[in-house]
Amino acid sequence: MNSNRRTRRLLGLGAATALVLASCESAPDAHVPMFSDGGLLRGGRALSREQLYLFEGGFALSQGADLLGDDLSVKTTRGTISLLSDRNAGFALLGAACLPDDRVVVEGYWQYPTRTEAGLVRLFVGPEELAHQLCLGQVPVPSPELELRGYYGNDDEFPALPLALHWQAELKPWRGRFFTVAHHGACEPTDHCGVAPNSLETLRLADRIGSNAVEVDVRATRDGIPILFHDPALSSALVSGLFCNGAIPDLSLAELRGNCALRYGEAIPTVGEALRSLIDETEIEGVYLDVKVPEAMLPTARVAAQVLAELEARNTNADARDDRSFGIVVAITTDDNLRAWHSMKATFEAEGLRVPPCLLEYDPDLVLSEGCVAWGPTWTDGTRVEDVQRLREAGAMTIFWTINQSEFIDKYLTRAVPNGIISARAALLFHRYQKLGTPPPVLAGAQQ
Amino acid sequence: VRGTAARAGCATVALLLGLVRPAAAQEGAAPEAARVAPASSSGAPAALELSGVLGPTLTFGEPANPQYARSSSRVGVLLGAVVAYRSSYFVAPRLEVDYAALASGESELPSGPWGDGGKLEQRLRTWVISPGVSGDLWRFRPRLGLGIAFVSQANEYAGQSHSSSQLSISTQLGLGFQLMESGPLRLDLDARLVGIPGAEVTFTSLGLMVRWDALRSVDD
Repeated sequence: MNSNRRTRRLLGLGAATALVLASCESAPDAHVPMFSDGGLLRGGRALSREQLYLFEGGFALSQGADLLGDDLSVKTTRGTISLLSDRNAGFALLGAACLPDDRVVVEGYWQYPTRTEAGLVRLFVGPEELAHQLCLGQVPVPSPELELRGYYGNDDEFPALPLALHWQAELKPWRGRFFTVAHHGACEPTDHCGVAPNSLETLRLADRIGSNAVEVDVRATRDGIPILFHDPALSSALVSGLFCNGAIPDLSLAELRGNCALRYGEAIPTVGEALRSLIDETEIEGVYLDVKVPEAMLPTARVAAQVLAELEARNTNADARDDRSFGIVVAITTDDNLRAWHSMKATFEAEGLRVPPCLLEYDPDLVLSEGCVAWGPTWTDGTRVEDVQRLREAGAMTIFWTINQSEFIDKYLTRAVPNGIISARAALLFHRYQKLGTPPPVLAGAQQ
Repeated sequence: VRGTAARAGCATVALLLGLVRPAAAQEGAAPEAARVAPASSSGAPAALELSGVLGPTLTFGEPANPQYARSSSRVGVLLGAVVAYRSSYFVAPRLEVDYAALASGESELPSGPWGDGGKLEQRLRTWVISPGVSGDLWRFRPRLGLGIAFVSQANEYAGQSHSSSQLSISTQLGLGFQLMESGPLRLDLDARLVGIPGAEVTFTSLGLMVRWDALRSVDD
């Protein structure tokens, strides 16, 4: 009888375990709130890119501190005003438009990426004279008079909780100086942003939530096409699809794209698609290609070299309007990858191609001997202040990976003064840099 | 009334999981026959049991890109063999090896970074090796397995065939119902749910299982 009872317990426990193990991992809930009637932006005239620069700066909150803290940083990119906070790494992504009654509305949604909370925001630009200037098409200069006043809400509720921001100061230099590097895109797989890591969609979102560079993971398909994907094999943690199975090197790009979708339905992008999307559709300044396997080194370098050549042609033509500053670094993460890098260099030299810039992750001495432009140490090895300084004097940048917690971000910003940090909490990192960071010196002759 | 019903429900669940003994057993009133008979609930003698199973499968999931999919079938077939020792105790250790052709499909890809468009044919298969345990409760035979699975994905595109396989743990929940018995042979209706989480494959099957007592205990 005892054995019966034990067996039943065992079966009961086993059944529960099996159910847990059999349960599929599903993408975290993601909800991007929207105004039910489309919002006021729909009936207004969008502000120009030049006008949006007005809103950049450090702001103090006189109302709504519960949502985004006592202060926040505001940066802008094409069509977006981003409120970046260190409260729960929260952000608000807002559009701005001049309304027929001469008011300027700034509205969109706020979100805490690590939580499910999100809601709507509707603000108006004050004072009225400033709004009037914007509606006239003028580009006013930022001043302490600038305020954004209105309401926020939770979920899809109409905004009813007061929110007021007052411009305090200009941002510290960050474009081309300090890189808030998105960790394989805007968010981690467990976040609630509604975009999958290493997708084109997450790269576009990264631009909007405070990053000015992105780190992406690169592998090569069976037919030698470099793609953005983190793991060596397909798994439910990253992809879905009835026929989406196997290891990345065993599958061609056609098979991958035909059989698989990323967790929110996005396509697995090629490195070429990602680079061109970053250049054409965002204001991201650079990309860190984390080449995961030696086999991906040569095809990745070919794509990088081709895109850089296209960019150079674009920047040297007669039309200055299409000029674009954009840097690519190919990361060397292991000795195997370093050997693949050497092999690639030999191939490139034989073919007369220009070798793309490199970043070396593990040995600061090799950074210089290999002629790389940057060092990418893991933060777990400490701040390495002397190495950072030594490399800086030699003209190389330092970009730590991957720091998401506020206390460590603060420590590395203040002690090491790096050129960038990889983080999945771009809003938090951007704002902490603005509050505590020191703009790293401009490196003479260094490529971005 | 609600509290009484809840207690009754909890008691039923606890009984099923063996967490409490039935009242009669608790009071030490088990009949003599129950104490001397083999503990196997079915009353069958201990034996080394060989089984074969055949049945259709239904795989959960959908093609990832319906815009490309021309046809897909999630209905397949499972063929398996089991060796088990049906002891005179409740639990019977078992080892099951199954092969299942799970799904097939056809997609039409447009031209893209992969080159010219064309027809992509897909076939999904798996081998499951699953040690486990089962128990006999009247005519029912619940079972649990935890093992490994090789999931194989074959693709044919632009005239070239390739396949890749993935190794993952597998979990299996099953329930057999004995339909008939004739000497050393038994015929069961067999239902199962198999999860292969690492490959995101989950399928169910309802088939027929033939069991044969290859070696019976002489004590019985």
